Amino acid sequence: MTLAEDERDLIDRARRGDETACRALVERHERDVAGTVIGMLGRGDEADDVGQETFVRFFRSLGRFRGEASVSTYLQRIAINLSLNALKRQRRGRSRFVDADDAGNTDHALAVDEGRIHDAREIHEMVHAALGQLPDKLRPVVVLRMIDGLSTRETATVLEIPEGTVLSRLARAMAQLEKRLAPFMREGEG
Amino acid sequence: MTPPEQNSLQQRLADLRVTAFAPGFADRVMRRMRIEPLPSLGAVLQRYFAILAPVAVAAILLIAVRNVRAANTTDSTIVAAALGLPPVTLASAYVFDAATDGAP
Repeated sequence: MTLAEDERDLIDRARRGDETACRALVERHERDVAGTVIGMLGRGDEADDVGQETFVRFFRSLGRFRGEASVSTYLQRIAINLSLNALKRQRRGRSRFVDADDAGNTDHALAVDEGRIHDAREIHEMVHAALGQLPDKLRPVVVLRMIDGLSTRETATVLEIPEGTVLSRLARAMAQLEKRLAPFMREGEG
Repeated sequence: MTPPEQNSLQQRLADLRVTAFAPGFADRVMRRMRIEPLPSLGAVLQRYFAILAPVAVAAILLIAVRNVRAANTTDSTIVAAALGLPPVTLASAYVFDAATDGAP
């Protein structure tokens, strides 16, 4: 049995409510979903919750799944949409507590530490923080293309946008990241 | 940024890749599915029927009204007209016979 046939069999069984098949699909695709969701939201309970919801939505929509896209593409699409919803919720929650004068001063967290040497873990966190400051349209492209390692075409398929749009968004996102992280990358090189 | 710095940034981004949630993720998903079970096939069909039935009824009524208005009311009953049935006459029976004579 090939992988595709095996997966089709698992999907057919999951459609009939077979719990073992559902679990096998979760275990097989946890890696893809974790990469996308944690890339979008960072580690934590919210990412775990979005990951679970991604699979629940997938199993609920199995009746509509025709197999035009691969299971991992379909799951990553759901994961990106749910992550974006979670980010919007986070922003709405934060905006209730943040003073209007501070709005837009998003580089503050990175700028204050610029004068000193940072260890690898700190730089790792700064890269994640800078990623978190990217606009919603740019962040999924960086997560899928640069973190999850998908090709430009695969990224375009997951996000349902043209490949040219992926490339232009990626260029804009990388320019923003470079601007924010240049001092730390120089440090990291030395 | 210089090319080595760009490479460094790309490497740092790739290092953010995480390949698993906290241990027991599959168990948590399965538990959540038990709390929010999948809709049965019957429930899904029922939902689609509820959406499609009014549309189908409206289409049937529209066709029936159109047939009644287009029919010659002196030659056919209202039911026959609504169903779009042709008038039954001796002449049409002969036409029908002629059409089916050559059939195997």
